[in-house]
Formats: sequence, C-alpha cells, structure tokens
Amino acid sequence: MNFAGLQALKDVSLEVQPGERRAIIGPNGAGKTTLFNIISGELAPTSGAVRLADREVTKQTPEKMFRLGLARTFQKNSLFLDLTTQENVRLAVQAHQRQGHHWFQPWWAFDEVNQRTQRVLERGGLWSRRLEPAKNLSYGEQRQLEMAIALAGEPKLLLLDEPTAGMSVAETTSSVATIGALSRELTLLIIEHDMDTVFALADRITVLDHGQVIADGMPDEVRHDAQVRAVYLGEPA
Amino acid sequence: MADELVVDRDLTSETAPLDAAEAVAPTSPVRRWLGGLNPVYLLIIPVLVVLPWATAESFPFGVSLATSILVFSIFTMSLDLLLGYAGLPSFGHAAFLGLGGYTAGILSVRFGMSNLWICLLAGISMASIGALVLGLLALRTSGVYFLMLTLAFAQMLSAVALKWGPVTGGTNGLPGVHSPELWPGVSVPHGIPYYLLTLAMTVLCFFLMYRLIHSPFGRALIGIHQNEARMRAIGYNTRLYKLGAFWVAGVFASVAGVMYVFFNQFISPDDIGFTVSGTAVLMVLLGGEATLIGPILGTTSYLILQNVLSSMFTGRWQLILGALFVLFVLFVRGGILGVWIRVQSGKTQRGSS
Repeated sequence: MNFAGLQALKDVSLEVQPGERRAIIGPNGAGKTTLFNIISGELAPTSGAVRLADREVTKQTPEKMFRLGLARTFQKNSLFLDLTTQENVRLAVQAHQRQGHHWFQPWWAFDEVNQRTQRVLERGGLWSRRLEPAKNLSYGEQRQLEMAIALAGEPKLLLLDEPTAGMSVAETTSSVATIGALSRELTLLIIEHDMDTVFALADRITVLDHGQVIADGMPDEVRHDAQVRAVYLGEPA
Repeated sequence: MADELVVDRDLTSETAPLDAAEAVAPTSPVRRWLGGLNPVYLLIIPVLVVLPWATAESFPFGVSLATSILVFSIFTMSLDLLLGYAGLPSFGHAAFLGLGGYTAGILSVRFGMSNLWICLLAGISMASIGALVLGLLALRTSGVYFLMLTLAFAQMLSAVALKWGPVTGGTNGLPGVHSPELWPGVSVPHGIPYYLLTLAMTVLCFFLMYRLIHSPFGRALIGIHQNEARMRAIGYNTRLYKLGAFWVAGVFASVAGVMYVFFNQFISPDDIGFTVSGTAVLMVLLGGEATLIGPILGTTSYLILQNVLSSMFTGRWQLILGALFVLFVLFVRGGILGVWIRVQSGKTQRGSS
C-alpha cells in the first residue's frame, strides 16, 4: 500500500509502507490530530493530496474512506454510550458487511454479522462485558471498545489517536500488547504521547512540531536527533 | 445468577427505551417472528375485538373514540420513528397525514373511487413524493433549522388545502367521503365494522414498525441518534438512512391519514395544521419516546383525557390538559412507559437482593 504525497498543515508529507507501524509524535498543537482528520476524510485539505494504495482519495467522505479500508479511533472516545458494548461493535460489523439496509429481518437473523461481532468482542477482551451499556464500562474498557469498533471493519489502515491516553499502567500494558498482536498486514498510524508505548510499537517515527515535520526516521535515529530532543523530549540540545 | 442480573439491568435500566431488549436475541420462535415482542401483548387484540360489544350500552361513543385512538396511534408511532429513534424532531408530521387523507378524500368525493387499497396506494405515493422532497431539503440541516423546515412544509400544504378550493373544498373542507370498499361492491360501513378494519390496520402497522426498529436499518437509526459522526466513521451514509426514516415515517403517517378520512368522512385544513403535529409530539412524549408502545399509550390517554375533561369542563378543558402536560413533561422522564419500566426494575432489584 502506498500512502504518499500528503501535503497538509505546512508542507507535511509522509509516505507509509503497507504493514508499517508508524508513530506520529509531537507536542500538543503540533497538528497530529488534524493530520488524522485529513487522512480519514473528516477535514478537506486546502491543498495537497491523500493517496491510499495508489488511489487518489483526497476529500473523500469518512464513510467512503471506511469502505476503502481505513478505520480510526478518536482521541476522545466516540462511542454509542447508551447502547450495549455488543451493539457498539455489531453496528460497525453490520456496516462493514453491508447489511444495514435490511428493514424487516431482525438483527439476530444475521448470523455472519453476529459471529463476527462475537469474534471482535472476544479478541478485544470485551466479551464478558457485552451486555453492559458502553457508558458503564471503565475508561480503559471504553478505549478498548473504541479500538474494537475500528477493527470490526477489517481495515487495511488503522489510525489510532492516543490509544493509551488516560489509561492506568496495567491497562496501558494490556493495550500495547493488544495492538502489538494485531496482524502485521495491517498498517498502523499511531499518535501517542507515551514514549514507552511509541518505542514498543513503532517501526518508524515521524515528529511534528508547529505543523511541520521536523524529523522522520527509525526509532533510534529519532531518539538521538538533537532537534527532537530539544523541542519534544524537552532536553537541552 | 450474576449473569442474569446483568441481563435484567440491561433490559430495564433507565436508558432502556433506546436499548430495550436489544442485547440478547430472543429464543422462542414466536417471539423471534414478532421482532422480539413478548407474545403476551397479543392478548390485547381479542380484548379490543370484543370491546365495542362490551361497552355498547355503558358507553355508546366508545367505538368512535376507540377508532380515533387507533388511527392516531398509527400516526404517533410513525412520528416516534423520527422523533424517538432517528432523533429527528419533526413538527410538521401532520403534512403526511394530510397527504394521505386528502388524496383518499379527493379520490372518494371527486372521483367516486373509494376502494381502500387504491386509496392507500395513492395516499402512500403522494406521501412518498412529499417525504422525498422535504427530506432532501430538511436533512441538509439539523436541530432547530430542521424543525422549522418541517413546520414550514406542513404550513405550506395546509395553505394549499385552504386555497385550492375546487379540489380540496378550501375552508369548508371536504365533506361526503364514502365508506371504503375492500373490493368492488363490498364496503365497510361506519361503526363497529370500520373499527375492526382500523384495528387490523393498526396491528399490521405496529407489527411492521416493530420489526423495522429491530432490524439492521432500525438499529442504524438508533446509532445515528446516539452518535452520527461515529456512524459516518464506521461507514454509514447517514443522510441516506435519515432520508429512509423520513420516507417510512411519512408512509405510515399517510396510512393513518387514509384511515382517518374514511373514519371521519370529512377532512379540512384544520386536520393537518400545526395543532395536530404539535399534539402528536406531545402524545409521543407523554407515552415515552423510542418505544412504539409508548406512543400508543400516550395517544390513548390523551384522547380519553380530552374526552372526559371536555365533557366535564366545557371551555376550560384545554387549560387543564395543558397544565397536566407541563407537569408531566417536567417531572416524569420517559413518559408513561418510562414510569412503568422504573417500577418494574424497582421490583426486580428488590426481588433479587
């Protein structure tokens, strides 16, 4: 998969290879989430292009991008709070399998949707909590649900916006393990502040500051980059 | 035991109206076929069938009142699809009642065509066009703007009914609607026969709508109500879904309109004005939105209360009714059905602890 030529913010350009796990780091306000919003179609860039698997997808709607194999989680949880955990996932599976237009058959008649929902819930460690309304889940569980919803659509490219933000140490560890265990065929773009998480997961790191790429390279290169240490890691150069 | 408790809480929690009975698929075949409805509710049907004979002496106007309750129940249930499930606050729903009612009325009075099925088909077609036009315009907006557009659309149609005298009868309305024919030569006379026909139609509409809200499409509408941005991010074309909801609600409202005009044998611009739309919203909130059964309860209690109060306090009944509703909306969350669910869950919790 080629994901290249993204020109947004101030001449931000990045290219991510299929199966790559790329971390995007940078101080607050660097434009990381904006970058995600442009890629996922929530925002249209003023200039520049987004390409997904050599296909021009600039300014596509979010629902179209999802069908093209892009899923994302949100920095702030974006769940169906009054619905059960199971229903949160089931809605995503139902959309992915294109069963949403059926208006007469009840939802339980769709075996494939329900089996896939069960698999996604089990993999996300949420099966035992499936009957609980999403709002009754702990914060960590809600983050897991957020990711389970994104994974329900069998994406090729997954954007994770601060997947471990606000989690306890134990929850972070288990989340990092879950993300690490994802298929290597899945391309990951991760915004993350926690450096241990970044170094545990990323193949490559891009550093943004004030809307510009200030470094891009292997974790070790970035770790020792003087400019990055100065502006981001908060150490004197 | 712990597992059962979780299920219980899920089915009867305070948020139950939106999520009711959704977590666990029913096992009994009858219940599965009914879209998850407990078959016990079906017992109401034989009761309603014998009701006219049971009340014939004590309450001679009962049949007429019961028929109008059934007709308006179809109407308020269809509004609930928009208001309660899809989260689209329409204040012009009477427009679709009018499209159905006037279409059937005009066919019957001006063209001598009183075949129920043809009238239904024509009414539904007109409402479909109306729903499509209004839906494409109004769904570009949301919130208050959406509300204003639906209101304006209904006012516009009511103005057409008022001004297009030669066809609609203008201010005087359209009197002399014939009894509907089931097939040529077999018409359904006013009174008990028409009541039974309306009962059958209401049961059918309820069944279809109940299946719909438990279908993938209905679940998607609830998802849109809950979090539209997220629905888009997981691949739903939410505007198309909302348009679908608008169309279905308009179709059922027009069925109510056709049944109304044959019941009342008359229709006038007042029947499709803002008061009717507003009252329907009130009935839905009164009974409990996003429940389908709630709107039936709301419609029933509203119309019975209106009947009782207007005979007791001629001229002042609206004031009393209004005050009652203000109190109800302010202090009783979830409507009549919400109260019932809370009482039930209170019992369950006491019973299990």
